[in-house]
Amino acid sequence: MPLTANIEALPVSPARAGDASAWDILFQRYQLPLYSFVAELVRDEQAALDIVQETFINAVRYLHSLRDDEKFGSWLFGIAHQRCIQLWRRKRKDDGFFNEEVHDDLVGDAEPPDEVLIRREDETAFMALIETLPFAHRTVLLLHYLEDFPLEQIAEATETNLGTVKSRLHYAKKALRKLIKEQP
Amino acid sequence: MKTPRQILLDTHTPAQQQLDRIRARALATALGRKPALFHRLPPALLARWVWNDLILACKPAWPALAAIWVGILGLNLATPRSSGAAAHTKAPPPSQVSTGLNENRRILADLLDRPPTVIHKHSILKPRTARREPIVIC
Repeated sequence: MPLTANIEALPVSPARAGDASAWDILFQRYQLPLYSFVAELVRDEQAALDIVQETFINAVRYLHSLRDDEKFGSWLFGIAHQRCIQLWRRKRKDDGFFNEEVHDDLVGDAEPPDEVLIRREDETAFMALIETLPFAHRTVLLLHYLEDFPLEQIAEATETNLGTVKSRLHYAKKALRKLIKEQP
Repeated sequence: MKTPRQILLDTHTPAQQQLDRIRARALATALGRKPALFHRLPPALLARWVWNDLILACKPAWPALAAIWVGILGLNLATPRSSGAAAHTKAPPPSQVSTGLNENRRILADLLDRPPTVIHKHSILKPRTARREPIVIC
C-alpha cells in the first residue's frame, strides 16, 4: 500500500477554485497524519489541535502560493512545521538543534518506511524513541514515516538543505535500527 | 507487527472526533463569512492570528504610519493659532452692545417722536430669573 496519496486522486485543482467539498476531502486525508506529526513535535494535545486548525485555515488562504499541486502534502506539513517551530522556540530546550554535522554524501537509507516493521511489544519503546530524538531529527523522521515524502520535499518543508535532511534521517534511523535489532 | 506509520496513527486515533470538528470549523472559517473567524476561534488562536497575520505581516506599514502621524502632530503644534479665524470672533463688550442699542432706540424714538428708553448693560447680562424690576421699552 503506497504511503503517499495518489496525486491524481487529490482534488487540489477544485480546491484551488474554492470547492468546499474538495477541501473537505483534502483535509480528511491529511488530518490524522498532520495531527500525529504536530502532536509528536509539540507534545501538547491542545496546542496540536490549534496548530492543525490554523494550518487548515492558512492552507485555504495561501493555496495560490503553491506552484506544484503534487507537493500539496509536503506544503501542508511545511505550514504546520512553521507553527511548531514557533511554539518550540518559546519552550526552547537545548537539544542540540543547531549543533549538528551535515553529511551531504549520505545515500538515502535502503529500506522504504512501509517495510520497517515493529513488534507489538516494541511499540511503546518506538514511541519513547521518537520522544528522545532532538526536535529537528524527530521532524524529519516523522515526515519520512508518516507520509514517505521525498527527501527534497522534506528539505523544502523544513526549510533546510538536502544534506542536513539526510544527516538527520540517518541519525534517527540508526537509533531505530538499534531498537529493532535489540529484539530477540 | 506494524509499520511506524501505523503505530503513530493508532496512537493518535482517539483525537479523530476533535479533528473532525476542527476540520468543519476551519472550512467554515476559511470559506465562509468573515465574522465567523472572530467569534469561532479560541482566544489564543485569535490573538496569534492577529499578531502574525495583521501586525507582523504589515511590518513595513507601521513605521510609515507612525511617521505620518508624527508629521501631522508636528504640523499641528508648529502652526500658530489664528486670531482672525471666524470661529474665534469675539463678541463685542457689553458696554458696546448697550451703546449700540441705545443709539438704535434714540433713532427709533426720533422717528416716532417719542422719548428714548435707556437700556442699562447690567439688565442685558442678567438672566431672567435675576431681574428685580421689569424692563419697559417704549
